[in-house]
Amino acid sequence: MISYVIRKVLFSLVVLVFASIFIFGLVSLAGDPLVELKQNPRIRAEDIQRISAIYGLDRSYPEQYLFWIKGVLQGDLGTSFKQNAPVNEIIGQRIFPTVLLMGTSILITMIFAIPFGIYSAIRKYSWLDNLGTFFAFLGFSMPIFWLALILQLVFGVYLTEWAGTRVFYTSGISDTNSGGGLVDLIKHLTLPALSLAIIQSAVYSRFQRSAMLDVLSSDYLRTARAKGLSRRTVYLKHALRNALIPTVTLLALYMGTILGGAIITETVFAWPGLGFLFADALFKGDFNVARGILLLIAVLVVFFNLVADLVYAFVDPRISYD
Amino acid sequence: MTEREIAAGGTQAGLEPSPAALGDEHGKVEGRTQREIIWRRFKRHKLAMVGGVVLLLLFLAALAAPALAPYEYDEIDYTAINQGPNASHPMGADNLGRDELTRVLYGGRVSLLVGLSVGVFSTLLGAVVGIVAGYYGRFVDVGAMGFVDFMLTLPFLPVLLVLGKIYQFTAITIAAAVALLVWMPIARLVRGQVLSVRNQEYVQAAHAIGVSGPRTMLRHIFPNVVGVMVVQATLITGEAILIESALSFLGLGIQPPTPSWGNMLEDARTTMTTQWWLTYFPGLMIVVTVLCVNFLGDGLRDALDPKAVE
Repeated sequence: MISYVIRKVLFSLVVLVFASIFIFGLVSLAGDPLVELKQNPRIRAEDIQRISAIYGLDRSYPEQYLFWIKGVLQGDLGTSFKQNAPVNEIIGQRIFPTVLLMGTSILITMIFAIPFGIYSAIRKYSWLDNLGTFFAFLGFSMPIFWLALILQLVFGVYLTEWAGTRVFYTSGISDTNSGGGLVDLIKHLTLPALSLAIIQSAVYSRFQRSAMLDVLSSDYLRTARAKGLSRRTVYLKHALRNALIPTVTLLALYMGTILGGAIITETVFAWPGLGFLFADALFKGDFNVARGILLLIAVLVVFFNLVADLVYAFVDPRISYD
Repeated sequence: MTEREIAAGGTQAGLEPSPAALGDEHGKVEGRTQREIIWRRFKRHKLAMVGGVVLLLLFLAALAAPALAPYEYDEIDYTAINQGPNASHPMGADNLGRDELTRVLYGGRVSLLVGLSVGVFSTLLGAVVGIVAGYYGRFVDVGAMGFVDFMLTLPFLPVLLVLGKIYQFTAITIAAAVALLVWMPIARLVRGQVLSVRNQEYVQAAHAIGVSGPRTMLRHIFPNVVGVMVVQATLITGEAILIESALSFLGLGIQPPTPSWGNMLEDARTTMTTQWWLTYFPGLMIVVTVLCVNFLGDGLRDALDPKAVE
């Protein structure tokens, strides 16, 4: 057991080392961060050399990587090429909006998708289940940015015209005129969170349904019914608990995908989170910021994978450790 | 590696055979070939049939776009700027007076080309890795699956965006990049299948009479994973169409003036409130196409899944 844990942890560390090399190298290829300075005829060559030296850009890629990773290991992601501020600070400001958006969308998804998935499994092939299947297919097949655009049109434009006043905002996190506050935040948060929640619900409601179906056909559930327990007790006490495990695991394992999806949603709604920052940094050539975000995502993904593996090993006695 | 398989086992969410596919006919004992059995099962899945036919039509329309399209895709007509749908422009015209229907047709070429290429290449790549890892086992398996785990930690959309920044993407290069980033789940699935047949008697028998490793893989193991591969290829095709549209929408995929449904939607954003047709039609095309692909995949799964009740 202990050797299993050690092996998993070591593997995660090796993966992170390779991921950091990959991320650094890939982003380095994306372009020259000083290209604007070099194209500017009013900036002298020796100034460019001086700036290159400050950022370490005059050294070879392996040296640059070692310089970068040394900082990263000490908790310093470097300095922005464009804003003259530490990357830590720039990224730090964007974490809360992303966590807020992701958290809200996941909460909506769970509140809706888990009960619906369980209902669909218990009442398999009922009209509501079939309707759910249809909407799940629609959700699987819809680009999230298009759904976001349609929500902007319907709830941002048509509803505003119809109501004569702005109910939901389609960009940003707050409005200077309204003076902030919780109501203002909700008006901004609703549409982006809903876009993400609708697409995620398609995945999770179906996943919950099939997890519940697996449990419902198991022997121990038949035993529970056979010894005279009521349907209600069997479903809620025996089946539900076991059927929730795969869903929670899926959520952990797909954290990276969810964060990747945030790039699109945050960009459409100009939501000031990490995804929007990443797209923006990439376009502007602020590569240390882009690297920092990629590394952050990789660390989170590896961490959640490790946690899922270890938790599984502890709770599920069927898993072998060799 | 069993923990992952338990987790992965459930990801085929909501894709059990539909009631129609399960309805078996008792009493008939006519001999049927495997192919007939599969075809009969597939035919019962009405949505998959519809999806297949619609996809075929879309595919033909995209192939014949130069002949079908009423205009050139980059033909600018100042008199038609921002016109809504009408007789000469059935889907309206954009802010340069280009015919939206023409551009939607040409955009379909990009989407279908990318989708199909990714479907084929990522599935082949995944299958090769999965079969080799599963068949040879030991350090080959450990190494291959370690690499799969590593690749899975890379967030593919951000990585694709960086790649799009490095290279000017064309349809073919997008397909190659996406294929290289989505093959891993297929490799895992195929490996699992290979592990379940590797130690069966007929494989050992082949081994015993001196059949070589590669030949065993090709003739005796590969046919067992074809079903899984076809289903996965279909589902990945749909996913790839969505990924391409997202990349192009973010401005790092197919570059204008070449139309793709994604970059047309990006163009549409600025005039979204007034020129609704520019937002609705390309988006609807994506949804209809991917929906048909997914219905087809669902039907194929029901038809090819050996565990399905017959």
